Amino acid sequence: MKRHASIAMLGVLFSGILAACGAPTGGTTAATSAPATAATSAPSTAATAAPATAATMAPSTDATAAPSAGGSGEVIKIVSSLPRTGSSKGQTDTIVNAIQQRLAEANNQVCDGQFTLEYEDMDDATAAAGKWDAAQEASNANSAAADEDVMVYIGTFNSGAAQISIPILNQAGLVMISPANTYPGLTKPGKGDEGEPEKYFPTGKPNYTRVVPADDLQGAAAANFAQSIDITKVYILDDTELYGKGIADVFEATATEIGIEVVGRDSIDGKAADYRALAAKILDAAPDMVYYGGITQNNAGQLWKDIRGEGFEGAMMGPDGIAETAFLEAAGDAAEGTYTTFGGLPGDQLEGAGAEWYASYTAEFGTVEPYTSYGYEAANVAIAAIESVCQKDRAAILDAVFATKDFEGILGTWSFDENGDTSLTAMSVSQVKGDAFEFIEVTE
Amino acid sequence: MASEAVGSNFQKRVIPWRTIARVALVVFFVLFLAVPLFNILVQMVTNPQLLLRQLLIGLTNGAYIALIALGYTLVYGIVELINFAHGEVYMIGAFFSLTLVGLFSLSDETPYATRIPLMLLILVLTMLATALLNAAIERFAYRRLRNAPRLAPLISAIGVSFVLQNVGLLWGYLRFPAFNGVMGSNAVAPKSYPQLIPNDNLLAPLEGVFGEAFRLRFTTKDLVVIVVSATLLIALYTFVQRTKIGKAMRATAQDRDASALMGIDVNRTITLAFLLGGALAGAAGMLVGMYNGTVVYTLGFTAGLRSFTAAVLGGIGNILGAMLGGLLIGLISALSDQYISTEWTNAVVFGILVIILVLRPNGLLGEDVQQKA
Amino acid sequence: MNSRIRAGLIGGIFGLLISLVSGGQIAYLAGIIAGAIASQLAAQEEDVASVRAGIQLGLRAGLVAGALTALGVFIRGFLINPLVNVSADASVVFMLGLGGLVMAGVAGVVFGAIRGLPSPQNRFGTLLAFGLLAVAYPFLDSLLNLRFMNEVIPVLIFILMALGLNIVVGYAGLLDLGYAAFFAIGAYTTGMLASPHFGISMPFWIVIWIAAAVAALFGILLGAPTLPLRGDYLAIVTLGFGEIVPIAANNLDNVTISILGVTLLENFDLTGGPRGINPINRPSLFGYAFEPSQPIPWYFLILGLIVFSIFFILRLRNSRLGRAWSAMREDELAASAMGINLVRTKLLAFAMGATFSGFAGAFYGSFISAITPASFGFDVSVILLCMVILGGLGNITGVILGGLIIQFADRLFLPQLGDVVQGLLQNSNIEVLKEINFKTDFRTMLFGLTLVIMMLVRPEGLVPNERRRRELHADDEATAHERQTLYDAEQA
Repeated sequence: MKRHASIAMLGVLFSGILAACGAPTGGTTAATSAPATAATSAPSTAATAAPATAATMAPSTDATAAPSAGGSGEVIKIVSSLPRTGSSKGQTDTIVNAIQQRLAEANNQVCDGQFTLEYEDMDDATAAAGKWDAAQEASNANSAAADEDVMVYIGTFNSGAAQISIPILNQAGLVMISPANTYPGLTKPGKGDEGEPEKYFPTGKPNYTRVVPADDLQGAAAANFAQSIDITKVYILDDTELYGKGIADVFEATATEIGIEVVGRDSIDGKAADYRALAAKILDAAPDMVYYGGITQNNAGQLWKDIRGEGFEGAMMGPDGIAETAFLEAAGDAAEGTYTTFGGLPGDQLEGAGAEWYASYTAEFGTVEPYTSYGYEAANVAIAAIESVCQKDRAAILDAVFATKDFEGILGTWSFDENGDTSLTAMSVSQVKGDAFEFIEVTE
Repeated sequence: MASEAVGSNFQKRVIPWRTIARVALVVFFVLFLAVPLFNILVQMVTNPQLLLRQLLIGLTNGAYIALIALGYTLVYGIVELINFAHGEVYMIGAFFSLTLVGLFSLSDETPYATRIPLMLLILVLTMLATALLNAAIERFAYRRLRNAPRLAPLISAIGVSFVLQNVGLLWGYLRFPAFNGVMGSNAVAPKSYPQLIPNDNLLAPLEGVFGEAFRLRFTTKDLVVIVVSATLLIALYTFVQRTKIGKAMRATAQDRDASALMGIDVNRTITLAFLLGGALAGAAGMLVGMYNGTVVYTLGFTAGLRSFTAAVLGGIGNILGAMLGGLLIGLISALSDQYISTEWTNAVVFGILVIILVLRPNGLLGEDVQQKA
Repeated sequence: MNSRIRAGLIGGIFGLLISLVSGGQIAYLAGIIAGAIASQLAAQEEDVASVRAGIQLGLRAGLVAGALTALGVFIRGFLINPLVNVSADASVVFMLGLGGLVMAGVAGVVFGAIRGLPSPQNRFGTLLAFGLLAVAYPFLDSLLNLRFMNEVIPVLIFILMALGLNIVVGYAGLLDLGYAAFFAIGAYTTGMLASPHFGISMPFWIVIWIAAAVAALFGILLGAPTLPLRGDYLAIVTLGFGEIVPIAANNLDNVTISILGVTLLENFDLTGGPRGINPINRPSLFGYAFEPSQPIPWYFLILGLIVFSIFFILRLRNSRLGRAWSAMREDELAASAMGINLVRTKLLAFAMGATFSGFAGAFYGSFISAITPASFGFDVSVILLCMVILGGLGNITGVILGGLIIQFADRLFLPQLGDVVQGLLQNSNIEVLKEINFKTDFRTMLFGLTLVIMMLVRPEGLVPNERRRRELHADDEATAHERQTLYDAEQA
């Protein structure tokens, strides 16, 4: 029996060796002529095929299939990890479009053609879950860390996902630029949980930046605005997620501080079919305003309809998570009059370079969502950092991103502070009028 | 109570687990639940108007949960399959009816004289479409698995529900001018159903009876939901109990082989059950779409789960049970939202479900039928 | 003769799809997989008398499979790549195709030969060969530059859980729709005992046992109320627990317990709420610290856990308890009449099933180093159930195979397929097709279709449990009952 077993073992080993012998032949040629996969081809296709057709993606590269067996020091890869399957798809489609738009503008080249830029659109959701999946985000981060060509990681969309990938990428020394995470604890000491954000940076050196202002500013701005329109009693709701609950907590704290009475606090189930019972409860508490911390995808439209349907006539307010066209369509008539806060300016309020970008984006892809401009700006800052060092070196690019000062992007002129936060602290307040968000004011 | 349980143990020195468990339960109840429950009672008594309002909400929500649950229970009764795709058929029904609403350009401004007949027409068309869809699903995804292991069609059903969910997502791209913009501009975003049934308070004349803060509401929408649900429930019940085909369905449910021997066309009966189930799902889709006002491709899964729970609670396979289960779940959710906390509502619903099923292992109205292999 | 070709074709379909969709050097691996499957299937269809016969059989099946694999490579290289504007180097494509063919042949021969060994050795040999393949995988991965290691580990976590669920559903016949609850409990136990959350940092090697024990305890606690329930009533109650546990995890960040007005605990953060617990300590062994950037140690850790679990589960299945489970599954009444303590048997099934989920939870917690309530929803339970049933209820090989197929389809294959089709659409000349974002718009549908089609093709699961299959066809085969009784007598 032993003999037979060893035959088996030999057989398997033999097959392994054969594979090994086969590998170099296939591998080296594959790297130069890129015959084997569409993935390797993507740079050229993505680069030249200017996205003339709206809302489409160039065939994205796929790290898992790409036999990029070293040798090609010319390629710098930028990856993004966003939930591309499930209900956030509407937003992430536009972020990916914006990133690709920026790359196409650079003609997929940096440093006068010294490096070719490749972009990969990774999905951190699974079909089975229909939303971002912790294991998938971890494996995206690990794949990116393992791929020596990857120099910038744009992501994540969900703050919860960022908590998972930051430590992984931190150890790989790979810089992260998030276009959408607003949970304060990711960057700001003392604003989140105990030990945040240091606990996300095992090397001790931060690698995480975000081009979007955090919620501690936004929640407070919302409460201050509420006071300015003479709100005295508020009912606070959240969607039980990291982002929504976080911003509702900030709102609650600020409101209490400045003397607005909080008459109730509830967390909604984002999957419930309706919220009539909650609406009756809210009406019984008789607030002047209902504040909802959460995202459209957690059924904000239904929530609005039910609260209005129950006869609530006070003000309603929400954060940037609902400042999107999807919300307007989901809530229909019930959205009318809703106040929303938003970090920075809405796309159509941007000036200078921002206004130009807005015009070119809408011409090419159609509707702009709140985070679209941040997607563009994330790619913008990444390319600028690469240009400034012209090295294929993660550490250098990481430092260059953190050193971003007085950057003239589409959002205005801004810098990163030592925590990786943007210096843009302007918060805009808009109100839904008719079928659009109407800009009201900027608060600092 | 304690001595009774001990007395029933004939063997000596057996640890009286049952007694210990009961005593522990009572202690737990007194220590942890008595005070909160008393508080809730006080709240209920001091604000009867709110309690009444919540009961009305629970009743209406229960009515539509029951309507979806019916389809589950009907199919389960005959093929013993937890049809996970049922919730998705309901979702497709909502999308289909919304598309027709757009096609006929119905809105809250259409005069009633044309609106009501058109709505009825849409209802019929939707029911027809979902009935055919459901029967087609049965034909392609379940029929071949009828003699497979009991759980095989369950997986097939889960697969179908993934497929239909994706169909719902793609449906959002049907932004043809003919549909008058009902699909909005964003495929993934929830779609708004026009308010075809008015949301006016029928109880408004009662204002004054309850003092100044009058908040009791019962709208035309609520009424329509209850009336339509009740009508369909009664119609289905009568159909199954009184007609010859209904009898054939019940016979097939009891024993497929025996009923085949008695000359019942089993295939046809099963197809009929799926047709009926699909039609009910379509009706529910349109009704709930109009009632809640939102249609989104993720709608089906939760609704399916809720109504499946309702069906089981009432005794799966039992039409009256599904109705009772639906009402109960509607009421429990509304009361829990109000008096406990919205974030715990799902846990409360399932907690009560567990307790009820432990006390009545075959559901509220279920009969003790030995499970078929 | 026919059966060999058919087996080769079935195995070849896997090879073809993999090499077609993923492209590149995976052709070699696709060849090995196709050859192994073909050879195994062929050997199942006809008796293999000797090593020589096995080699012949395996060679033919393997070559048929290899031919299909090569076909996949050629389609990719010569048809698809030019369409998406990839310059195809014919010689490389040819090499890859040939490589796939050769590997399939070799794998076919090796597995065929093993099947030709005398009775006990052939099973042992097959296991050993698959085991070696699993051990060799990380090296193949880096040799072939596949970079799948990061995807493989989550897949293996799911497989470990599926093995546990198989005890509950497959062996004991208790339909469990809330299995993710135990996964959550295992992960949260790890989170609480090995992280800065409570300031406790016990070593992973101890925590994993505690996590398993806690999960088992909850298995008993949650199993107890379900004792009087049967069939789908049981399913809905387990579903309820599956819903309650994540809700509790989400909401227990602010626990206040007061008894009759006396406050025992105020604003106690038990679970971290929606934020979850982060970071969780990673294991270290003899001074070697496991790092996320080094997937290989993690791979061997989870592989070790799986091997241990398989060993344990096999022992369990053949034990008195295992037989009690199958008796209970077939007929509760009869089983209890034969003196089986139903309460004990059921509770042990839940506890044992939960144990492995506890292992998986502990591994997951320290691998991801973060847990949030959202990771333990109903979708996890449903997918696990799909893996178990699709693979073949009660059959360990089947469960592993089902798990590999479903998880890889979801995490690797379908996204890549999406890329390929997307590329084709982009390069087509039809404007409408260019508008479609195939990768993200059709992913869920493809996944659902995979489930439906596989279920329709193999209604009894990919590798049905032998005993089960006989039971199911008891009516067709008169002798089945006799064999059954003989088998049972042998077992006793």
